[in-house]
Amino acid sequence: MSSSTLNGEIQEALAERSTAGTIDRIKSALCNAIQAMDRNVEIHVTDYFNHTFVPDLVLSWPKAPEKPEREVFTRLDCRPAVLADDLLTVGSNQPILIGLDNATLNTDHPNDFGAVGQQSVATSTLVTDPDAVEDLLDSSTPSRDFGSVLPAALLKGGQGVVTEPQAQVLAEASHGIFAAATISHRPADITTNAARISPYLSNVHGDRFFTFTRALWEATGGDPASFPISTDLSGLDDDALRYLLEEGPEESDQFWRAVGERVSYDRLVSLQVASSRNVHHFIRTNADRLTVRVAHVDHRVTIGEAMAARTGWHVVDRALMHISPAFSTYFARRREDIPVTIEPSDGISLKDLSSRVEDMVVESATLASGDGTEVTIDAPVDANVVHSDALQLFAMSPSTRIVKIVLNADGRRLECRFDERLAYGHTSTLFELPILLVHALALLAPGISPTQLDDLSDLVSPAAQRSIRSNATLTLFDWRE
Amino acid sequence: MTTVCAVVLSGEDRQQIGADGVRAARLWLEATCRARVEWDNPTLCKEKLQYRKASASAGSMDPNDYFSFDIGGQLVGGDMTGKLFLAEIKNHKRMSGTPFREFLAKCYRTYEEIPNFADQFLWISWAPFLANEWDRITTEEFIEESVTYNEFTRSIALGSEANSNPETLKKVSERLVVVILSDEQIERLCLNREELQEVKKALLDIRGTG
Repeated sequence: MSSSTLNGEIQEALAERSTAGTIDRIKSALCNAIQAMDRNVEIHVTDYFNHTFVPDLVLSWPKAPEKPEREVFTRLDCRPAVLADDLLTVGSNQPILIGLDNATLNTDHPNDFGAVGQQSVATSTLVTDPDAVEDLLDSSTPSRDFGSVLPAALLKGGQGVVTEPQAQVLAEASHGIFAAATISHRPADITTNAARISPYLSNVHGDRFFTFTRALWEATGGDPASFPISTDLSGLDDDALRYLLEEGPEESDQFWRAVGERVSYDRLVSLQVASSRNVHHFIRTNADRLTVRVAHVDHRVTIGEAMAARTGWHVVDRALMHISPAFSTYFARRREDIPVTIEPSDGISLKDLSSRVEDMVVESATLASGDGTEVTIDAPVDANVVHSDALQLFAMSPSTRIVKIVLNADGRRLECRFDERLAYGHTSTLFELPILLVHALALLAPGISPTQLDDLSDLVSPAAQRSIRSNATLTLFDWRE
Repeated sequence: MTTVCAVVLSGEDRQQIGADGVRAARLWLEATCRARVEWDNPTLCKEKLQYRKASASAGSMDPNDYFSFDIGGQLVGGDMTGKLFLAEIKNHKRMSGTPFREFLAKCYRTYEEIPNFADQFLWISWAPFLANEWDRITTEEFIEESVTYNEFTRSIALGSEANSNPETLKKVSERLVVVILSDEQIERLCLNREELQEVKKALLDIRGTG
């Protein structure tokens, strides 16, 4: 018969005669619980169990830029003097000690653990037990908004002795602080619950937790000036940012714009965040802050097929992708980061080019004949090659196609290859995402211009558009209007 | 034979000294990198460390019908890898031979009950004992003398059996390891806690890939 609680499962495992069976079952139960506390954690299971100085598990967060690790030691002997001695041996690595002897840990004489508590805080070590883990997990059920934030923070930066009574207090405080941050917006409730939580988080993780709380406060209409803890919203760490993008509330443009103030393209793609509606909102509201060099329009249904039902912005590996019903557009810093194979195709005719470029100033055009010969025609300074006699002449042959143009896009040189449906900044020139977007759509997605999409604001928020207009000398948004 | 303890200790003091000894022995054993002490709580790990006396009736729930070892685990390295051990630890300043004889009775009984569960029986103490018989304390003869030493050792090892089993005596003799430690040895001649952190990295790399 299997037990439904973590502690019950562990006690059943201990009652097995087989030593290997016991260890496997306990580690498996702990791994499941830890994974439930934080689904971003990776767990390395060692060959050791209850060892004095070699951990049972090594937790890591490979998606986080600093690649943090934390060791987990199980402990069968949980007498205060023994745990104090353990802290002397392993405390320097700020590990987690999970005591499996609940009866001893939940003694009627909690003062016995006073020294362990002080020592564990001093060494940023978390001493806990299965019942406490269970209580924290109960508080992280989907019915409790943001219930998994504190358990995950404790896993990374928890400290002190957290047995069942403390876990219950923490679960209540977590519920209280998020209710205050998202519903009541009462500063006093934030302060009260923060005081209950902060002793159990290291300084770094406490700061991150309360920054995240403030992000929710502002996202849900709380007055930024009234938030009672000093934090920097744009200082959200990667875990908090990933959490917001993957599981946070679907919030206003204003909120996502505040969150994205210091989020670069590189940081966004390095988060490896799962596709979500919030990712769409984030990119849409911060498009002007994301700079890219390469765009590729793909008419084939590839990755987009899987996401066909979800038009909008996505992150795919190290690229951004926008899906519309007709095609997918990829944006990246490097051509090799485009996550689909770029199939060669024919160029376009001069007539097509003329209709696509409209008022854009094309500095040169490269034509290819049927035998592969290429000719490049450069326009005089400030002239548009599209209207040149030379281009008209060369383009007369039916077998000649225009394969590449170089144009001035907002004062920067943009190269566009029609035979690869690729637009890219000259050498290492970067473009704000909206500028490359509208040029790529105009030049590489025939028949569809931004104004023909359902609504341009679905791609780039009004605030991001305003930012582009105010900073750019000439924008396609203006040009399209 | 009767034994007299030179210092009268309260039960709590005795318990504390015992706990200190278990902790120190455990750290020393694991610092050798040849042992993993996986079981160190006889109350919680009954199935690993606790056995029924020969005199007890089958299915008895009386705690007095059971005895336990202090720690258990497995050995690591070479031919010993995976060998299971059970250990008794005595952190006394001075000792008679009786606790060791009782330990031998426990080993005898454990082998009789579950022969595959203990490949090695470790005795770890802080005081020498039976100096005049030191060269024979792990022999079959001495084990036989011990299991019949007094009523207590007989109840552990033999119960109503009149004679000991020669095969068991031989096997227990082969599996005995006697270690005498000192605080100074642990303090000055072992790797310190910081050095053990370096050992840990090596152990995780060499053996810890799960």
